[in-house]
Amino acid sequence: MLLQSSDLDRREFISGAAKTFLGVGLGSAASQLVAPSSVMAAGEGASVARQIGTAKRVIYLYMSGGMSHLDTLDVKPGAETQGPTKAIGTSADGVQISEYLPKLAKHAHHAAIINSMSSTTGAHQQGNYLQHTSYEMRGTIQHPGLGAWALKFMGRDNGTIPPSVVIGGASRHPGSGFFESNFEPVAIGDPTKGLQNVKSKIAEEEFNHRMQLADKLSESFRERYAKKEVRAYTSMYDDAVRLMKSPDLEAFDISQEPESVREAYGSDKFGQGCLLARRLAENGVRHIEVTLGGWDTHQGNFIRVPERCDILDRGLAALISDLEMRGMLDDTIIALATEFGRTPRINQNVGRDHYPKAFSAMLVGGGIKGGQRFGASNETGEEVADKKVTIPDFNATIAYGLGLPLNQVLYSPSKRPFTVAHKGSPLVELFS
Amino acid sequence: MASVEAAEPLSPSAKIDQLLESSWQQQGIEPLPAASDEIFLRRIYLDAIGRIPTAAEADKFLADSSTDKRSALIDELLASPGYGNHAFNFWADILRMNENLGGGPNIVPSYIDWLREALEKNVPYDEMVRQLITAEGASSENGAMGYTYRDRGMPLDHMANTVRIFLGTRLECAQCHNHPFDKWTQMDFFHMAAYSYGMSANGRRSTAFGDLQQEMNQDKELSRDEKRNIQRAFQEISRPVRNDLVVEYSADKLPQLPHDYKYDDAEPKQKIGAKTMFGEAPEVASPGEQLHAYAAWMTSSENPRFTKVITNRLWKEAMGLGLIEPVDELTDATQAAVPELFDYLCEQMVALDYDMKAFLRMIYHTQTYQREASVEEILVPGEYAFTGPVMRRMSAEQIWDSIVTLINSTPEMSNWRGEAEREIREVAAQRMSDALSSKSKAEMRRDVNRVANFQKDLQDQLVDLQKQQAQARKAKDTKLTQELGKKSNQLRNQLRSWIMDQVYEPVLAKSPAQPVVLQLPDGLGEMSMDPNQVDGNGRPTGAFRKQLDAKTNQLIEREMGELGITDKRDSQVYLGFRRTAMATYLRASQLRTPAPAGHFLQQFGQSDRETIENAEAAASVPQALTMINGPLFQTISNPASVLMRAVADAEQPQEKIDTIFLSLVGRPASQKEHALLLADVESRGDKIYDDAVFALLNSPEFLFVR
Repeated sequence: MLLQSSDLDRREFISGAAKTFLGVGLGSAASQLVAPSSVMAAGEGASVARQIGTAKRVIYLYMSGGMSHLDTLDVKPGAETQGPTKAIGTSADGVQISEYLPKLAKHAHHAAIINSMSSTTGAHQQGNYLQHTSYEMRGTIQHPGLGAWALKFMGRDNGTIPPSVVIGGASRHPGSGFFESNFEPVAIGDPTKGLQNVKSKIAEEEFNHRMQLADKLSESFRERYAKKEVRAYTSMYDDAVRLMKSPDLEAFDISQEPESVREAYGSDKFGQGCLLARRLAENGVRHIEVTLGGWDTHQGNFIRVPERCDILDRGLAALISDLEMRGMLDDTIIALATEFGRTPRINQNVGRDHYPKAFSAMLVGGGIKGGQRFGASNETGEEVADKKVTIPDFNATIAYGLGLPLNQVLYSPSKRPFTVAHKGSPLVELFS
Repeated sequence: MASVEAAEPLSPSAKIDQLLESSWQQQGIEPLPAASDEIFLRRIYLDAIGRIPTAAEADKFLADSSTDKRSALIDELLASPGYGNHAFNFWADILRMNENLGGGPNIVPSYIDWLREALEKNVPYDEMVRQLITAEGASSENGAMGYTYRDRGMPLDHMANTVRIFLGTRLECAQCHNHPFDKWTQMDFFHMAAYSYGMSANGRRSTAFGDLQQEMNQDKELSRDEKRNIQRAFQEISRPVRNDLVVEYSADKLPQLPHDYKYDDAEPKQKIGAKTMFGEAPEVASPGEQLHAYAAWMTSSENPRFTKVITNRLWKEAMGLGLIEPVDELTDATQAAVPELFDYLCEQMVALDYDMKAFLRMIYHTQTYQREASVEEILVPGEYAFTGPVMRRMSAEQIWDSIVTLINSTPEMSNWRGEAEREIREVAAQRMSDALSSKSKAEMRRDVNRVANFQKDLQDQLVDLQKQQAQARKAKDTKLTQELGKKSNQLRNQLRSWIMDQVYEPVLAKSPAQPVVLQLPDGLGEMSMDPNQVDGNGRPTGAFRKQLDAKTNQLIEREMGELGITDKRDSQVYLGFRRTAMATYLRASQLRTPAPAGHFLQQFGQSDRETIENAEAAASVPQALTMINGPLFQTISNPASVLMRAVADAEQPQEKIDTIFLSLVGRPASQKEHALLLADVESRGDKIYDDAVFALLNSPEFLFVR
């Protein structure tokens, strides 16, 4: 079924594709933008072929700053590197996690905890970039994030709602990279405020009057300069007005949730962001990322990690049980990821420093078999002892869950070949 | 309004027209009609200075009956400060001027200033490039060193970027293997990389500082913990001067082939010397001259790709499409769209000694540039016959700067407040850096030990505080937890001010600070700054900011005097509005580069300046939402805005409507448009003016350059 790259002239493909991409940001059907599956090159046969996806969407929880593995998902009771953090039992047989995550412990039977993550990138910006794109940061190109790849291959679910949303966090996001700008995620700074500028500040009648006037004053220009880009701007305004009137907009309004639900997620930005993520997931958004910062615990690790964990624990546990209750946990992958772990050796400031060599991540739902631990670090948490997982492997696992074609090569405008998770091997064992 | 013949062309401009005409004849196609004055006016403002004309500027040109008025306007605009403001954006995209990235500044402020100044002075292109490639030294002395600093730690990528930007050639693929679609080998890549491989960007520290750091690190008598403490002391001491940077060149540093090099012509990990990818670099007498030989080869008029790239880029800037597309993927097989024309343009570029302004002037004077814009869907860029410029959406910067023109009555004014703050920070950092460098090794050793001790002391207190905090947390005493957290922060700050007082102040006190004199715009004269007006983090103090506020007020009061605004309420509105305008509604090139996430400029596709020329002109729904519901419209329709003041000055409703049309789309309203708007006067009264502004702002005629 898979043809070789020579079957399609690359230039032809690129220029052909480029023509299709001049449409309106949120209005065009992404499905037609997918490259023909005949395009293959460098990554040919690098990883397993596409499977039927078990998940329809991803909620990506990004722990910015480098989450300490020893104090969260990879506790080492009795090890000299452990410090004061204690282990507690969970709802999964034989799986222990940190005492700082008691609520998550009750949902561990849904989770696959990966304790053998390993990378070589120990700087924040570079690590963050690698985790989001599976590629190393380079000065010559911007790679697309996983969300942009998902949209590129899967298309969108719903008419007016933006298909990819990034909530909170000042962390730089690679966004759509070298893909067209309509794969760019919409950024929500404050989840309680939702999407900006969707409400008119003037009375509806006046607003309509002005929009009509704009339409009339544009008529002759539109006729005389009938060009695709001009038409794109006309439909952009139509789409914007449609979105303003769309019931989908309510998805962005978490104030519609009962107080008890809002409280369950926690009153902080991350918790409310998780709640917004759930609402968006329900309304057809494919890829939602929520950021929780503050994990860069060079100092006072045992004060600050528990604080972060409180926030994470509440939001994540509420999200899991909420999705489960709504029957959406089966087709939603929740990923918990970070750029690197932290040094098992505790430093003189009672902190832990950057440590990419061994760290942890977690996947929940969307076909993932719960209650398991994958891979392991050694007794001090300093080395990977079993089944090393790279960042591309981790992202490939999510892509696999979504049913994305892992070895399909797409080309950057400079005609360099790229794949969704940079030839990472998916951990197919994680799926039930 | 009657259209005037295009200006008497200069002879190279006529030659360009002639070359194109014969190419159209051969293909049997007709050129587009000559553009009306209205079309020409708006286009030349946007192309030459990056913004639309005000109603007054439009009026003046359209009412002028002299036959050479187009030529006069071209020259006037190219000579105005708007040219530099606009050209800055073009180069900031190419050079990836990004000051937002984390982990220290990504570009040094003096690099931004260097670019601004080079464009204002119209430094020839080849000279600019030579300066960029070869700049060594401290950031405070040579802003062009920012070019190398931008790619610090990535010498291989740096070379690939240089070749792409200035030779329009893609080498990056050849970093890991021979280029799959072009002739370049991995060996070519490493030969080329060898030229600039020895350029490195670092913080500027004295040798004594470096030596001591190494010495103490190797001291066998110190325990591991003591050593760590001392290293941290070094770090803390150098913190205030961390932005004082330097680029240094050592010719003997050469790149190494990768460990998996798989071709027969060399061994893996072999060191590779410099050799140009084509042609030959001038002979060098010593390795130290190699960098300059490289720059001479790169920028030589004999280097065909060097001239082609800039010729094509500037043609594209003016006409909307390159004669070669994409502009930076030249191969031996690349053919320009109208080859005779392209060859002639390249000759002109050399003849004009790479004077970019003169080159643009030549294009603007052609009849071809002064034709109506093409709305053809150009599917294969190489096949467009250039029967006129290509219609396009304004760039993000052009849209923003046009909106600034509607709001801010001094759109070309520099961000002098920002410059003053930057200047004082730089001078302060420089002084501190000098202070640190002036210390002998013995003095420095004493400082390091003292800081280490003080820090250790603080550390014990900090650990104690954290224990208390842990207990408070367990007891769920949020108030106490927060209080203790605050105390921890105070302790950390204490270290910084202690270092300022103990390490820097004693030296600084010995050499009294020379005041820095800053030239202010618009006849405000000079302002003298005391370089000590910075806090422990090197930021300007509140008192300094107040001084700047006073100058701003002075400027605004003078304006009010000139405008005859005396009414108390009007004065207040005007004062408030102008303050905001001068702080917020500045030309894009005077704001942060690029604008922060979520800013209007980013929404409309301003390049993130992380990769080369990454701007976008695609429509997206958030753009429309910003335009129709965002706060911008309220600012534009504020009575103190340029636009609304002009509307207020016009007397009759007809005239007011024409003022709005001239302001937004550079032409008076048609009869039909007048009728349409005036029909609402009875029901909507004066609201029809706001209605018209809103409607035009949200029409394609505003966003597109025809």
